[in-house]
Amino acid sequence: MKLQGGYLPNIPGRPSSDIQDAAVPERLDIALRQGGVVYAPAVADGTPVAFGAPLAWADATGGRIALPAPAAGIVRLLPGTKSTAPRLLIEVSSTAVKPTGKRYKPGKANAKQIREALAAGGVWPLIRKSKTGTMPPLDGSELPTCLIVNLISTEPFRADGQSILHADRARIETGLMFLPSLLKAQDGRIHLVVEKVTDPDAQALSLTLAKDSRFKLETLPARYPAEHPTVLARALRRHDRTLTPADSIWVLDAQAVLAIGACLADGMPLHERIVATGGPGVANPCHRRVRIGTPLRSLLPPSVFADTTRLLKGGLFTGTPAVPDSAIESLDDGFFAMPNTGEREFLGFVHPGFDRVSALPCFGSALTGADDRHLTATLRGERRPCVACGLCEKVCPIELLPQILHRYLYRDAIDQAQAAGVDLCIGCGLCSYVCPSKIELRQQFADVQTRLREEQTL
Amino acid sequence: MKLIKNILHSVRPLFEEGGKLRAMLPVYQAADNFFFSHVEETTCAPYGRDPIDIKRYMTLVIVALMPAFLASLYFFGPRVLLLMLVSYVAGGLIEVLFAIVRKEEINEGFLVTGFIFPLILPPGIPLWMVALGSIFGVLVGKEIFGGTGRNLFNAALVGRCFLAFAYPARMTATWIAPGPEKWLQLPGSLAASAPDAVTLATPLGLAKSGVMTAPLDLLVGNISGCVGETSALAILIGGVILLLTGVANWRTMAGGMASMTLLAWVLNLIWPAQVAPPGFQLLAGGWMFGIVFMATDPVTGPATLSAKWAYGILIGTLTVLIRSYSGFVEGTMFAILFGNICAPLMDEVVIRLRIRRCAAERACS
Repeated sequence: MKLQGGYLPNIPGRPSSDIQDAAVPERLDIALRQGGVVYAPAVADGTPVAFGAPLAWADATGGRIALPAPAAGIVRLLPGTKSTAPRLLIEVSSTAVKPTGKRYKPGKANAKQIREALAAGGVWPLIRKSKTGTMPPLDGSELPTCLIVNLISTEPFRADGQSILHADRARIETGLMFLPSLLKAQDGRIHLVVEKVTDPDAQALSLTLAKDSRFKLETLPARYPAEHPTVLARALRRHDRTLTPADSIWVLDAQAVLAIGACLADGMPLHERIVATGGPGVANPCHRRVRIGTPLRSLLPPSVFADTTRLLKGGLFTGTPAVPDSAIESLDDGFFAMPNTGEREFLGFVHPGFDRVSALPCFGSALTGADDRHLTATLRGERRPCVACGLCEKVCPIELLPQILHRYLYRDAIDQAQAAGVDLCIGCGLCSYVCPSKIELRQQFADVQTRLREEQTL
Repeated sequence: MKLIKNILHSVRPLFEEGGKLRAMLPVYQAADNFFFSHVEETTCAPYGRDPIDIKRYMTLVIVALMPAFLASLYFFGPRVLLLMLVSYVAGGLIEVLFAIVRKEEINEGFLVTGFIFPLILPPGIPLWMVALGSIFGVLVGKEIFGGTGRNLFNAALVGRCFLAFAYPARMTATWIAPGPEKWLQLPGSLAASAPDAVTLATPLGLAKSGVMTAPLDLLVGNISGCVGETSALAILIGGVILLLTGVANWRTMAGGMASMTLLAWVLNLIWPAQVAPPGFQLLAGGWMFGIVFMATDPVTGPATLSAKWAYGILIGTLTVLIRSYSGFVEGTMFAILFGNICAPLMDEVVIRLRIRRCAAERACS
């Protein structure tokens, strides 16, 4: 498959492929609003819960989704405030994990059973519809013509699909075996997206799946945002011209397949996440297997919470400030820290730049291939009017014209911006990242999308 | 470095709220940010950013202009420095004035405009004309549209165009024969009409009367012409710098070069007496400088990448046509200014096509 635009700078401090087990803390902290889903508590304050028992339920199209207890213990209910969602605390009494759901054999379970088991195990929200980016309905009212299983991740500082595949290939293979049952038609396709087919894990995977012709191994260049569901689906639609606009495509990542394998084959509810911790402000960047609900303060070193450091949840391009007193949620896969402020360099604009990396090859690093060693949470330049350099258009993964959209929005011509596709922006953040005039394009487009949505609901 | 820091620090109160020079804050800011890079925390995602900024961008354009500038110093002597000084001071005054009135920061774009402007003037031009042209260019070409980033026309070309129409005789009678001996004739060579300066027709002017200049002279720049436009070789080195660093868009340059070569070749085959051959067209006059440094100005060209092709092609085509079939000897300036006018239209075509694709995409999402 082909990827339009995209860009990946050479950033140091990316987590190693090593996956370490993080200790389960004495207290788990679970938000009742996470990943766009709002849960209502199903347990009373002060009562004990067993591992995997539903802590809360959320209504979803065609059914309800459980929020399973990631460990056994006593529950405390904390009401929400204006700015924070209600939370559940679990005073952990036992860290042991054991199967709680029914175990299935691949091919033996029907679609309805699978959907119900995944909803009861809390795994269903990990599946995304490419059209809306939200989880698919549970009642089978919309079924995918094909599935995309994405095993690459390019955004710096987020958990890397390849590392997860390497560490847990057997479990991922099991998870994959269940996927054909979710398809609309039995001859549907499941596209596994990897960076290179020559990768040993990808080769082993393709050998295992060779007997089932529905699985297809696809490659996509490792340029951000190759992992974005919309970008993946777009690439697939261009690759496979038999797909019509009416065909639904669902997208899963390595962690989702891993969780599906654990849930269906072993009866394990969703209770842990593989989270990358890295960035210029974190020593020993690596992947950690973390119990959901683990407070950030017990996972990360104290230095990342200092005033001089910006702690972000997510990746370099889309990461948002992490709340220090929050905890790991079921969709989290990366945290990184970087210095809050940079040094004022003397005559910085003539610096040869062997230590900084740009989308334009105008620094010394273009010759040496060096890393960007000066990444900080700063603009690295002054805000200026757009000079129409075209860099944003070059990197846009869905071929929008960000400079033109900006021009429209600068004079508040929202209708024109909408016609030119501002509503299609996927918020990957690349345009803002590369803009030499430091224009907040991503934010501007997101604000307009919100406005357009509000107008639609009126 | 420390000294500069201390000076900046000590004068800072003058420019702050209640200070005597409050109105001149943009000047202080410009100086402060010139010496010490600006550091501002990000407030929304993405929190990390690319190190490229407009200062770096403009610095690289100046770097790319250096070979042409050095060649001009060699061929036309120390007077070039004088022209540049006048251009910077006169145009700079307008830029600063507007920054103060608008309470905005001084924009780096002027550093390039002020540098390019003297390079596209005849070397013997009177200094007051340089000042007038620079002021007109910055004022009418840029500031009245809202400053760098919002201007429709290339400011330096607007200044030159104004001079060409307001003082046509002086603009065409101030050519000087090239040669490094001018450095030995100080201060005489600084004057506009040095006693021993020879007025010499440019290769394009000579070509109209059937005299062709040797290609090697055209390439090296040992010819009469505008200050920075004579040495095609020096300009090409600058062009390579611009292309390798990605600062100039290769589409504009490629479109321009290809269309000019092709059209000149075809027309030369049909009317050899009227249309000069492509090799000569490429190397003579302001073409090389225009297509490398002026047509690639991102602000005044089309904003979309595909339209940049059309933009380059239009400029190349028009240059050949104006040179060959009009009363003007040189057509690059008019071609680029005309390209500037058409740029928004070209963008519009690209946008329309893109809107159709957006509709198809919406159906899938």
